Amino acid sequence: MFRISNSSRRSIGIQSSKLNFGLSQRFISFRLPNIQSLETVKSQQSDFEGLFSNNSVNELWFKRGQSLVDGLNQSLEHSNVNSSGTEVPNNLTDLISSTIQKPEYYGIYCYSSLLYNLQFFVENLRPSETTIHKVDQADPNALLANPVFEFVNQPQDEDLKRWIIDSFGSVIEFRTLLLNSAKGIKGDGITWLVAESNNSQSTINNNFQGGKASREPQYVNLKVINTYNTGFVDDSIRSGQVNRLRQQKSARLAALRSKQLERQEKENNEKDSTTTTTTTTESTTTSEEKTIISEIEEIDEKIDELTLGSTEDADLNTLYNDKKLLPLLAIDSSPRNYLLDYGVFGKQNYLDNVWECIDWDVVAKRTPTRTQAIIGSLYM
Amino acid sequence: MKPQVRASTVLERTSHYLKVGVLKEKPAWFDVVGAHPPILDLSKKPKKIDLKQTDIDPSLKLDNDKGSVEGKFFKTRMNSTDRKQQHNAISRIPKLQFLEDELRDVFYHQHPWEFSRPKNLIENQGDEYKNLDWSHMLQFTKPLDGESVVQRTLWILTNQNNEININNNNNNNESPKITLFEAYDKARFEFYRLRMEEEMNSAVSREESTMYGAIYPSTNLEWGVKNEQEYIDLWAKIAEEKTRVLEASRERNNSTASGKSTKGGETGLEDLIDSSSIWEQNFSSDIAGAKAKSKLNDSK
Amino acid sequence: MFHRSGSRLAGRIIQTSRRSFHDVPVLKNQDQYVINGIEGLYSSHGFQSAWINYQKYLTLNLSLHTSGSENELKTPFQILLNTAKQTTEQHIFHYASQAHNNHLFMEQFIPKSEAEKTRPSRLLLERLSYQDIPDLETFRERMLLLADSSFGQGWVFLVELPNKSLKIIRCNNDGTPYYYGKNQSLDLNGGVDEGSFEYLNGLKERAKNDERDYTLPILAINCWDQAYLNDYGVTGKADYLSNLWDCINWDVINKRLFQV
Repeated sequence: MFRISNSSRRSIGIQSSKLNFGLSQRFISFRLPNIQSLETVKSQQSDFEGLFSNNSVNELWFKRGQSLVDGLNQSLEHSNVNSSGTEVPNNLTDLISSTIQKPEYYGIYCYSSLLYNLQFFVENLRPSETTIHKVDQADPNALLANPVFEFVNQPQDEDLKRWIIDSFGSVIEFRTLLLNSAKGIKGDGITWLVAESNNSQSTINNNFQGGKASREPQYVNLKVINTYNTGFVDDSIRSGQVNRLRQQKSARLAALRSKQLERQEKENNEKDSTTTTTTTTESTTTSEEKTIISEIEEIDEKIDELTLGSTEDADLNTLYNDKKLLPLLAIDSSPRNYLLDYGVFGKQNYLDNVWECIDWDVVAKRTPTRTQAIIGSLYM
Repeated sequence: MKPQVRASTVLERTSHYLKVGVLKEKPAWFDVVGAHPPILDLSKKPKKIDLKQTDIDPSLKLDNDKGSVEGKFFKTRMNSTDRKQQHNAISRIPKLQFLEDELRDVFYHQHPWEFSRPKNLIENQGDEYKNLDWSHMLQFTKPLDGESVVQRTLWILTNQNNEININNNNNNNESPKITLFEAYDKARFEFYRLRMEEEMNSAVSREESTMYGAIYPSTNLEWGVKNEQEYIDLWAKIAEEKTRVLEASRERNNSTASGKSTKGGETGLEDLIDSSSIWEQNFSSDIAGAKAKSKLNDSK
Repeated sequence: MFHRSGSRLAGRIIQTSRRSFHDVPVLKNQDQYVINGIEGLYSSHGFQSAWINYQKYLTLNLSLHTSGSENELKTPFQILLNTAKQTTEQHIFHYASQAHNNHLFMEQFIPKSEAEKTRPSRLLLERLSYQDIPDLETFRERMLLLADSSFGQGWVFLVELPNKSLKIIRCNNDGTPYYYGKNQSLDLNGGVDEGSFEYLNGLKERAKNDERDYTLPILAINCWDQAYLNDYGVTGKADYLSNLWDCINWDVINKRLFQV
């Protein structure tokens, strides 16, 4: 066994030894929650009907869940969050939103996000008898299989169904979009059905005039989005990170530039009064300032007034616009979920079966009240 | 079009050329083709060459074997009725008609952008299509395209109806047979689903790798425009030259024949291009029919 | 006119334009591994899943997506280079890159008892020592720690840079060591720190200048679930990595290093 001797925050020790804690303890430790359907599978030694074998449930939830919980608790210990005096949030969402912007808490963020995603996914599953494919190893011909058009499981809640049809066209169109998005993910990742608010989080926060009601996000659209690896679904939390860094950089450069301008003015004044030659002023500038000047010149060169922004800029401005997203349904399409029961070729079979196992009652409970778009109602 | 017979007689012609000295050297393929002469007669034959002449009873032929020529008349040229019937429908070379062609026609008229996908025409044996199993639309050795829809439609049409027949025998219920249109629609929707899947696959892959720090020097559109521009630049030069030639010849024509011939040429070209297809014919007649109907209704 | 040289040329054209599809390459001793697995690393079933089936999955997908296109007759390595910059062909890149990496990876292993007889060459150890890696033990720890501590799927490579120095890099998901733009060494899914942001800007700068990349992989470690889930389970990554190290055929690795 190789030892993980590095005590950095990123290290994960699966075989963690319990440390003794001193007195400073408002220490929060997390535990794996009880999910009724999975506990039954474990206690009765049965399969998760229509989706997973007993072994898979054990691996995917009990073993992996536990290792994530251990990892999270350990990261909390290692980082000095507990002793630093700040209150540690005791639920996962708050923990995620308070750590995502802080690279020094990378480990905590990752574990809490993975744990949140895993729990969210298993909670919207229920055993099902209407499976499309057998829970069995798929053969290479599964790659050629015809798309499935017939399915049984559908949202029962009328409002939710209406909303899905209004947002995606029909239930089968929604199903196709959802499962295609999930199938496209190559590594670890989750496909979500989310309710999108019409306003960005910052607008909601800043809008004091309208009283309390208008500060609540209003949900108009349903959308399907993907998150990868340890990604977290809420856009208002993760949005604009690259933008923020870019703004920081440009602010720093602007500061440098104004400094340089001042210096130039000063030099000009000096020139007027003492008529020193230019060569001497050049020699007075230190090497550090030279690099700054060259940096600024370089950037000036790059700024081209005539070209439009890149597609990347457009992406940043439109994709991550800080809108509040409320997750309703998650489908985990990471390889581990289908490798055990369905084999290398079985991703599509797994996804078709997952659809049949979606617990629409849970999804309906998670659904916020729908706000009809004002423009939409005008035309109706 | 005149039947093309010359292709299969290439060996005879070449040996003749060699004999008379038109060709000095034997072509490299000559011996090989000599050893394996083309057996296909590519010429299409009319259904009946001589209408009045029926097949001779083989038994009569036996009797006529000896000295049958004497005392008999032979017809050496066509009379007027023969000539009339020569251009009858049954005398003409039959037009080859396949259901596949009609399906292709309909599909590519509904999906004109499918033409913009490049198609590889190289085949190793020429009979690769025989190895394909159309119980599913995707094939490992063939890209997904309009042809997949056509073949899949035919498969659904034959196999689904067989299934229905079996069911009918069991139940004695009269369930309607699957029509060509239904089979085509079924195949078409499968095709759409697979295209959607591939598109999503590509989009998600890109997004995913971007989230892991992949960068792309240019987007696909920029890349395409850049590549296209290279060819456009080349073409612009050629086009410039050709325009100059064209203008020069036009001037010459103007001075000699007052420019009439070029005009005539243009109109002639338009006549040559035949843009009609089953799809358009059917629909234009449908539209005409619908219009007539609505007129009738209006008049009522 | 047909001359003799012409016909020879024609023959060559016919050969190269012959169409075919992608298939799983055969490893040395593959038949034996299928029956017995790789002692100390894979069971028979585990080997079949990680190599025979997964590689088949990748090559079949390559055939499925490149049939009739210019990439049809290319090797996965050529395809991955060909598609790395194409924004609409990233799914094809995935299958090609994975197929190439997985082949590179699987070639490295022999049963433990045989692997013990091989040693990293002095040249390799010397090169490593320039990179502040004094001995094999430190090297092992660096590689495996990086592999174990990362979240999600990916690869860890020991690569040789154009100036012949060695470097350990992590490529997330289907990242390739051959092109900096597709190394995928960052994880922007969580919080993005300034370091990653600057790194990303640096990459863009290099791409803008059309800079070429001559990095070559020497040693590959597969951190995809497909490589270990069957034998080691969802939480068995650490055990798998530890076993993997004991089965490395150093003779293969030594040969990959640039020889003067």
